[in-house]
Amino acid sequence: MKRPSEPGTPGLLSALEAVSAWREAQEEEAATQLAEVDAEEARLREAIAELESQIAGLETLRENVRKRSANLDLKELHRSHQALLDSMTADRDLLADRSARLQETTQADRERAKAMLSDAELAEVVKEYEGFAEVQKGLAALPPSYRKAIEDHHNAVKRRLQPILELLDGSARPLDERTEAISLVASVDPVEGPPQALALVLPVDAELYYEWSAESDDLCAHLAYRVVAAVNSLAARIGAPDAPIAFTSLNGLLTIQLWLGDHDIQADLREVATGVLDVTSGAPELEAAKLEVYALWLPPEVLSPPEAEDTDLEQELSLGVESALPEDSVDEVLLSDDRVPGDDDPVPGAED
Amino acid sequence: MSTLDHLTRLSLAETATQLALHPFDLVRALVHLNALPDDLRFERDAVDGLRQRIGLQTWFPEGRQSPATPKGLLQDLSHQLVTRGVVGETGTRLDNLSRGLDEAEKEQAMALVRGLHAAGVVQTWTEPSGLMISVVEGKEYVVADLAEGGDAPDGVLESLSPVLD
Repeated sequence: MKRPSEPGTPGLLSALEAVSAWREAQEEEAATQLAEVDAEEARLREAIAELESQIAGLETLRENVRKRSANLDLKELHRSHQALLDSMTADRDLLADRSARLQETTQADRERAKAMLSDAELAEVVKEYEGFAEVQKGLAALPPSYRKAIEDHHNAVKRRLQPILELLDGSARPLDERTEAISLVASVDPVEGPPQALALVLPVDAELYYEWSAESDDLCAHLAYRVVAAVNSLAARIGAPDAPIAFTSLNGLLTIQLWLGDHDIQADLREVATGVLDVTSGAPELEAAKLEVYALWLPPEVLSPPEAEDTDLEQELSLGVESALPEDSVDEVLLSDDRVPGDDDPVPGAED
Repeated sequence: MSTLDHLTRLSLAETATQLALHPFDLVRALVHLNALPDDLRFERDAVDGLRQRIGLQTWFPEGRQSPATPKGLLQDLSHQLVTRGVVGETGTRLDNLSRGLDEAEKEQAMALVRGLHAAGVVQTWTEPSGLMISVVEGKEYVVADLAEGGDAPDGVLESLSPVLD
């Protein structure tokens, strides 16, 4: 039996309801996807910000490295200056050590001579030897035959004393050491063109100049005397024998300055100096100490480098690189010799 | 002096001490005279000859009566410059002006020389053998007045006052 007809849900309505349900589902899905996109976008933006920050950091680093590279010359100068001070100080210590060793041998020779002189017969010979100075004054007035007899006798006395005189002649016996090289730093300013000044840094304590005494006779003093002699010879050879010479200190090291500003030097200073500064040849005490002195030529800026700018220093320190700046520069102003009344001394006849 | 000393030669520093000259100045003078010994040692009887050859003079002999004031020292210095005729191109070694003085007087003497130099009364120059000094020509009267114990003219007094006051 056919059921009475009930009003059924129109098919269209059902279909529309299904559409509506579909729509809701779609909207939910879209909302979910949009949330995911938003989250992804936010993540990406955060990552971009991080990368941009890293790029900015690289820019700063690039700038720092560029600045550092631009200051390499200055830093090289400071490092070279420090190397100069360190190695010259080490050379000074080596020279002082060998000097003390030589003193020991000469003192031992002196003691041996003293012991030999305790012999009464030899002591008489010494008296005779010493008395010759008086006798010598009257020699010229004597007849030639008398004079010759006295001189022959004196020579015989001298031969008798020869072993003692050899022990006392101040020359030391060679040390039983390996031969070492020490430096003598030379610098001409300017490097090119007519020279205005020559500076020499010695591995010798500058106190020798300020606090010398009659006992200043060791190996260090001898090296200084020989270099002073070399500088004077050099001045004469280049036609500037009257050039002022000043002595000063570079970090405690004796420094000799030859001022050539008032002279028109045509000679090749460095070439002439290279020969003259060979102080090892003809220096028996250096030979005995087994030391050879080599002149090394350095640019004047290495002796007295310009100050670094604070900003550069900060930069260097911020990058974790240790500063190479020396603690001290040239200790004294040039031409500070207090024996010179003034540094603009007029030279008679040179004013015009 | 011991027998040993009699038999040894003098070192350069000992020779410089006897000459009252800085060893570096002695080296300079000897290089100029071509008389620097290879072994840097000197016969004891060579010192007087060196003194003469280098032109060293002792203006203030040992045992002299030291002046009581800087002005007295200035008078002594001026007197020496006048009597020795150290004027114009006839110079003398700068160290001759202080040889024989004690350390304190030496410093004072050099300070006075600096004052005279600053006032244009004396001039200095370098010669191969060392630093020289002389009275500037035309300024002899200033030094002559000072040698007589007179006061320095105003311009000169200003330069000397840091030492004299």
